[in-house]
Amino acid sequence: MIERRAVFSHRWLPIALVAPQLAVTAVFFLWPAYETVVSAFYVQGAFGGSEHFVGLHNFTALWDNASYLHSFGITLIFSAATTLLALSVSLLLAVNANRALRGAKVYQALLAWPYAVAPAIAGVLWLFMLNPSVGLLARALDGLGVPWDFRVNGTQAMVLVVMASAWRQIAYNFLFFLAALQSVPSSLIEAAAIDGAGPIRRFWTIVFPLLSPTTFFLLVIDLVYSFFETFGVIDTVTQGGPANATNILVYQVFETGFVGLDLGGSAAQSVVLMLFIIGLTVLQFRFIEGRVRY
Amino acid sequence: MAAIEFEKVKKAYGSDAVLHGIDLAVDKGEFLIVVGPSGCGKSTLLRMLAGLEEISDGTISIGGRVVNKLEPRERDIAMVFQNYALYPHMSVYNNMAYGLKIRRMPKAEIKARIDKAVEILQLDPAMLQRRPRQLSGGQRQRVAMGRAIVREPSVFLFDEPLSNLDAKLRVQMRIEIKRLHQLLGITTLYVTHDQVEAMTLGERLVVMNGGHIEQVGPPSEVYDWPATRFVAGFIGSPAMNFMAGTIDDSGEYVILEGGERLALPAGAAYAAGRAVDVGIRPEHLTAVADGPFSLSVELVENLGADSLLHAYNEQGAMICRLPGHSSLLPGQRVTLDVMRDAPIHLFDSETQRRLHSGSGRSNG
Ligand SMILES: Nc1ncnc2c1ncn2[C@@H]1O[C@H](COP(=O)(O)OP(=O)(O)OP(=O)(O)O)[C@@H](O)[C@H]1O
Ligand SMILES: [Mg+2]
Repeated sequence: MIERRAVFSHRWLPIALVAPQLAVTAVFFLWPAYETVVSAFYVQGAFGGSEHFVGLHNFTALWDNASYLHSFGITLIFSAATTLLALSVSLLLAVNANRALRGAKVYQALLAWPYAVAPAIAGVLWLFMLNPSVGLLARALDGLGVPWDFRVNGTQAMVLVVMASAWRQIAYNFLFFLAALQSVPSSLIEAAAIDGAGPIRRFWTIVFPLLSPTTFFLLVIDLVYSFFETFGVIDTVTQGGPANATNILVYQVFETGFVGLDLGGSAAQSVVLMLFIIGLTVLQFRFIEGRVRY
Repeated sequence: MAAIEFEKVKKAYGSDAVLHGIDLAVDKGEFLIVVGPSGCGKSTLLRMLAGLEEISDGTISIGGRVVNKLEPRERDIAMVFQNYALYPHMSVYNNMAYGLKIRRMPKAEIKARIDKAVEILQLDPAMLQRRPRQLSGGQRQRVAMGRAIVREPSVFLFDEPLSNLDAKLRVQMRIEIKRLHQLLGITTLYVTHDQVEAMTLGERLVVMNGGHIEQVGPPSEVYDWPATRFVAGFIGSPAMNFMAGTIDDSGEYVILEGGERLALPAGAAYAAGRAVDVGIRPEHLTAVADGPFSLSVELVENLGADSLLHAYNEQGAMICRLPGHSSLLPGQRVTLDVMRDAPIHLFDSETQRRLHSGSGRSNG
C-alpha cells in the first residue's frame, strides 16, 4: 500500500513542531478572548478593584448608547466601501494583468509589495500625501478647486481611511484574482467569442461567474479585515475623528475601554465583534461546502 | 465560388514560422478533413479561420469575403473543441442558447431551434436542465455539437472532437457526425489524428506536414496515389513498407538494397541509376513459397478478420497483412512477394515526390 501521509518517525516531533503555534494561539488569542467574554458580564470600578456581575446589562446598554450605534453605522459604511473598493480595483488590475500575460511576472511582483507594508505605514504614507498643509495630493486637490481638509470634513476623512485601508488589501486580492483568472480555460473564452460575445460580455457572462468562489472568499476576507485589522490606519490617520466620522467599532472598543475606562462595556462590544467574525466564518464555510464545484 | 479560401496563408509566432503559405479552397457544403502529425499546424489553421489567431500573412475568405480583420463573431462560424469547452456554470439549455441570446433571437425561436437540435442529436430532453459536469463524455460531445448546430452557421469547425471518447463511442459519434453533415449540408473543416476518421468521414482529405500541405484529394485517391513519401507513410495503418533502391540500366526494374529485383510500374520513364524509395502497402504483400523477400518472423498479431505479420531481415522490418489467422511462429523463415497487380509506389529519394502516375506492375 502506498503511504500517502507525511511520515514522522517519532510521536513527539509533530507535537513539538505545532506546539509554538498552539502556545501563541492560546496566550495571545484564546486566553484574552476568554477574559473578554467573562468581563463582558461584569461592571468594574473605574479604579479597578470592585467588580460585580451584571448579566447582560453591558449588552443591553449598547442599544441605548448613541455613540455606539453611530459607530455601528459608520462601520457598515466603512466596511462596505473598503471591501468594494479593494475588490473592484484588484479585479480590474488582475484582468488587465491577465490580458498582458507576458508582463504578468513583473506586474505581480510590483503589486505584491504594498501588502508587505504594515497598515500603519500605509496610513502614514496616505496621510503625508493628503496632509492638508504639505501633502502632494492635497495641494493638487486644492489646485483643482477642491478644498481639502480631512481634519474638519468628516466625509473626506472617511474617503481617506477607506482608500488607505483598501490599498493594502488590493495586492492580496489581486494575487487571488489573477490566479483564478489564469485557471479559466481559454477555450471557454474562445467558445464564447465564436458564439458572438464581445470582450465585455465574455467577462460578465463567462469569466466573472467562474470567479465567484474566489470573489466570495475575498469578500469575507476583506470584510473581516475592514472590521478588525483597520485599527492601525484609523489610529494613525484620524483617531476616529473628526466628530466621530471615522469612529468604527474596533476603534470604539478601544475608546470605550482605554479612554472611557468602561472595561465591561468595551468587552461587550468586543464580544459583538467576535460574533460578527464567527458569523462571517460560518457563512463562508457553509458557502464553500454547499458550493457546486465546476 | 469557394466557400472558404486560403491564399498564401502564413503564421509565425515571433520568429517561429508555423505555417508556410497555405493555399486551399473548400467548396460549399463540402466535408474536408485535415490530418497530419502533431505540431504540423492543423489547429493553427483552423483557429486562424475562426478568428482566434491572427493571420501573419496572406488572406482567408469565407463566402468571398476576406475575414482577416474580422472578429470571430463576424465570421458566421461555429466550432467544436476537443475538450468541448461547455460553459460549466450554465445549464445545457443555456449553453446552447448562449449564442442565440447574444443575437437577440426571440425566446420562442431559441426554444424551437434547441428542440430541433435535441431531436437531431437524440439527446434526452431531461438533460437540458443539467450542468455539463453532470453529463458523460459522449453527452457533452453531443451538447457541444448542439451548441454549434443551433447557430446554423455557414461553416462548422471541428478540432479533434472525438479524441476524448472511448473507441466504441467514437465509432458511434463518427457516424453521427457524418449523418449530421448529410442532413444539414454545412461546409465543414474537421481536424483529426484518427486514420479511420480521415478515410471515412470526409469528401476530401488534406494531409499536412511541418506547416505545408502535402496533398489534397479524395481519401481513396490519397491512399492509392500518395503524392509524397510522407503521405504514403502517414496515411494507412499499419504504415506502408519502404525500401531503398536504384533504377537499373534498362529502366524497367528497381534493384533493392538487399539485391531483390522488382518490375517497375508502367506509365513513366525512369532514369537509370536514380535512387528511389519503394513503398509497398502491407495488404499488397503475400506469403509465398518463392519470392523476392526472405525474412524471419518477429511476431504475428491476429486481429480476427486478418493478421499482421511483423518480419525482418538485414535491410529492416516489413509488415504484411495476411488474411485470416496465421499460424506462423516467431523465428520462422517466411518468404514474401508483392501480390499480382498490386501497386508499388516509387518516390525520388531526393525530392521525396512520387515518380509515376500509373500503378500496377507486371510480375517479373
Ligand atoms: N501560442 C503559441 N506560441 C508559440 N508557438 C505555438 C503557439 N501555438 C502553437 N504553436 C506552435 O505551432 C505549431 C503548430 O501547432 P498546432 O497546435 O497548430 O499543431 P497541431 O497540428 O494542431 O498539433 P496537434 O495534432 O498536436 O494538435 C506547433 O509547433 C506549436 O508548438
Ligand atoms: Mg491541434
